[in-house]
Amino acid sequence: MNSTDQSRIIYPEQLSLQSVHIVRIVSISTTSFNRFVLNVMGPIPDSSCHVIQETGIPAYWPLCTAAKAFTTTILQPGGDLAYTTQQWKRALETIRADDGPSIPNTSMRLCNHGELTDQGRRQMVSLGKQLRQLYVDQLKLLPPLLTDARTVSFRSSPYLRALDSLQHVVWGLFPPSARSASFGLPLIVMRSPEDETLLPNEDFCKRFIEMSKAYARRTADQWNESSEMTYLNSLLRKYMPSQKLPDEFYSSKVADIIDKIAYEEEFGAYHESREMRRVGIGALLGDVTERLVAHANHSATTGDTNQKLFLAGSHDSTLGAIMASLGVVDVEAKRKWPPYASALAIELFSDPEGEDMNPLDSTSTPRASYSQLSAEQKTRLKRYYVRMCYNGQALVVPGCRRPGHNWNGNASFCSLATFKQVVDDFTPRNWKQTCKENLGEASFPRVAEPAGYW
Amino acid sequence: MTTLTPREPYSQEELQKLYPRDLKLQLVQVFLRHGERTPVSSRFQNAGLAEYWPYCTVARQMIQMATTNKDLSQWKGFEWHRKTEAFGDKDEAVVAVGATGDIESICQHGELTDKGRETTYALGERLRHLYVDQLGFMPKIKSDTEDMYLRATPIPRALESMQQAFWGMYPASARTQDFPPPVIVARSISEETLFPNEGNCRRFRQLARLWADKAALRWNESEQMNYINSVLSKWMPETSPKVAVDSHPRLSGINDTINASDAHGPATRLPSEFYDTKLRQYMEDIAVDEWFAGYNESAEYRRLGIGALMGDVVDRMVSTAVDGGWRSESSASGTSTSTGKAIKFAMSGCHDTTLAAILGSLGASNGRWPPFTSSIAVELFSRSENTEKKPGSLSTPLKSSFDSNTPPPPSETARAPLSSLPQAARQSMQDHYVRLRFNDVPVRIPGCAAKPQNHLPGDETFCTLDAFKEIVDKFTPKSWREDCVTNLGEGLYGKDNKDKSVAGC
Repeated sequence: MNSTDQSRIIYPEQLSLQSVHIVRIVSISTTSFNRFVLNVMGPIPDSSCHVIQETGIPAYWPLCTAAKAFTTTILQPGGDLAYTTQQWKRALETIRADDGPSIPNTSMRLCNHGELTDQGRRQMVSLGKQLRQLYVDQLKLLPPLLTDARTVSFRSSPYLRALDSLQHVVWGLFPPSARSASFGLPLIVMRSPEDETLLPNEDFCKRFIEMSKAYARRTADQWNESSEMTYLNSLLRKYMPSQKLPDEFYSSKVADIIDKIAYEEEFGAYHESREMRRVGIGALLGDVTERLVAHANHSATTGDTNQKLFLAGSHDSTLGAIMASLGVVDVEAKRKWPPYASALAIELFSDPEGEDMNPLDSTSTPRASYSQLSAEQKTRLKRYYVRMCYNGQALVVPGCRRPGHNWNGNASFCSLATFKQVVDDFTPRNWKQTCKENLGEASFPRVAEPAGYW
Repeated sequence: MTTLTPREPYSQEELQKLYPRDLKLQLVQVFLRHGERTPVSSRFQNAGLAEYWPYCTVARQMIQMATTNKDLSQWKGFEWHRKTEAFGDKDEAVVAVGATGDIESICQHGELTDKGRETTYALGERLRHLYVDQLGFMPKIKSDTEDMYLRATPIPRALESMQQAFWGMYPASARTQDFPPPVIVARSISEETLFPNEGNCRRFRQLARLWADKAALRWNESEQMNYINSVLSKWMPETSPKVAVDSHPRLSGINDTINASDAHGPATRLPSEFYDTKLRQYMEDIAVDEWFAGYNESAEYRRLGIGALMGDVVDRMVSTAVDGGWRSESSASGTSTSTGKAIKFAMSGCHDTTLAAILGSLGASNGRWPPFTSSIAVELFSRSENTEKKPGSLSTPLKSSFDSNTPPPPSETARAPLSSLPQAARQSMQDHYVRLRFNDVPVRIPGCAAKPQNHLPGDETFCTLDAFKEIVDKFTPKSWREDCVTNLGEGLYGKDNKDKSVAGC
């Protein structure tokens, strides 16, 4: 079977879609840092960081009309805690050279750093509409009218742009007219920053921080003196006054080089280090797989009330880490930084041809590895398949290519048992503990530990 | 002190003394510390303190705006509710359960709680009582906020506290039906000067570390620290059992958890010894010394920590006194460049560090950590006979003299040193008085009290604007951003100890 066939997204009639997990990154947001750094780490000789003002990018972008329509919940004290909503507008004040306040005429449309822009909001609503078309209209996985809160599950990282993005997707997917009055307010689940695993946790996971630094250093050593970096510097060191970055920034060669180096720095580690996969993204994929397995074990009992959709507002670092850790970007050419508004869907299918079994009455066994499952539980997984779609392309986990590990030879439909074992291989037993282990040890594995196998 | 116990409203008699008849109130700038919040990180779970505090009922009814059509002409409220997820015993995801067994209303770290919302709302009610009911300074009914300047730091609890206070001051019954959404001014975190900005001012970060080191040296082996350890060290982590200024967690962090706990319900209490009076007194003394002593002793600490904000505070008053007024046309808070109003009331949602820095830099610290919902009101008065402001002694007042597509030009008096102002302006500034009230108590600034010509005869808490500006000019940076990268690597008092100087003179 050739790879083009495998990357096409098809929904075989023989398989029934059971649930879908969508991990998306936030859409276009203004740049989080107000400078543009050409090298990976540390200054390049003969060059320095260019602050954006110097390269012609305005420090503030007037692309956030949402600032005119902010709304806040206000508590009105009294016997019964009563809330009222109040609208307000935000004006962003900047400072002059002498420190006094400066008020650009676009003040009320200015974006704060890293804020979701108007275009980002539009993209997110249309992503929601596309998801509706696919999962509601075409595949009928989700009902046209949401009535049961258990059907869907929404999750967001603590970053406002991720939360905003998620809300816009939900609006496109299930606008108020597609929710019954009894559905209530959509629930969005969040975590405390030290428990956050929806993105590689670079604030609280010490070992992850340590390893990231080591990989960044390695990438810097490898690239800072390279001909590619020299080329970048020859073009980008100068600056021009204009609304956009100078054209050179957008040349495809420049973009390719930057993308390649940045990808390697940020995601290279997941390709070759099991420990990086474990501290960086294993806890999240452990959760996802646990839900897939629970679905397989219990679907018959819970029937239609089963959760059908898990939608998470996350980040480029989440998507890149998931894909690199599952080895689905093993082809050199596919190693690309996830673009804005990317979405990764993890779909669970069942094969009705498979042996139907009575539901298990045992409660779920969280974090049990495949080998710890009972024979009956293992059998149960057999008729289930997992497929990942990323921006319109089906992905293949290398370990699922082998005969017997996929659906009828179609490697993009990975058997759930296989998928679980691949993920088990880097699911931490206790993530917080794992984050404190091996501190000070080498960050690079002695022999590469290729991703996507077990 | 964690929760502020506000004093009762001023009596008629007090009012007459505090607001003398021959002085006319011109401008009020209120800086408020946010209300009660949860601790900024989890500590003392080993002492039985719940990790998740169920005091944020706002989580049941959150709202954010979403646009639903391509041309962004429509914005609708996306209403949602929030639950918190945590790790289970086997690392699986579970719903976080709060201290009372509830899974709703769970707060995030550092989130404004229901209590904090109530106290900030109540602050707004008190401001209304004083400035609307008692003094008639602000209108009873509002149809817009053009005569106000509302501002907050980027920290959500500061914004929410300011909003609560504003709605407490002007509740629905005091607003017209066509009251438009008020403008709230914000800044990018890299330019934020409404709090001492450690994250974005390198030299200030260095100084803060040096002052912390100094406090560690002074206190770590002290009798007070020994006492603190005799009470708390059994609750400290095994890896660092001794409480110190620079322990893990730091003494100031421990203090913060105790204060947050003390401000809230019985479900999030620590063992009783944490509330020992002597212990808390010592901890507060040490934390205040670590964080705020620099303002009393170093001009550089004042300049980088709070000088840019105080520069703005004074500019606004000078503008009001001599330059046709601080007006909405020239402020980010205005909605029109042609039909503006003079700004009379500014409200800024900020932090304990802001308030302590303002007081400390003026030499007026009371040595205490500002409780939740503390506030400083900076009031500007003019002598009654002088209330008719001559239009712009320096420049023509702002009208629609500038193109609406360009930002309004800064006032000529902005950041102008006292010596550069013409005599007429100086005269006007001597006829204007500045008075600070910290939690309703007038503040005595040493430099104002020192000389009779610097204050109102008979009341040294009314400082002439001229004298006040002279004091603030001494620690207003010429360029905050530049000063933040100057003196890097120098010691506690800058190069050659040049910045060693006592505050408030």
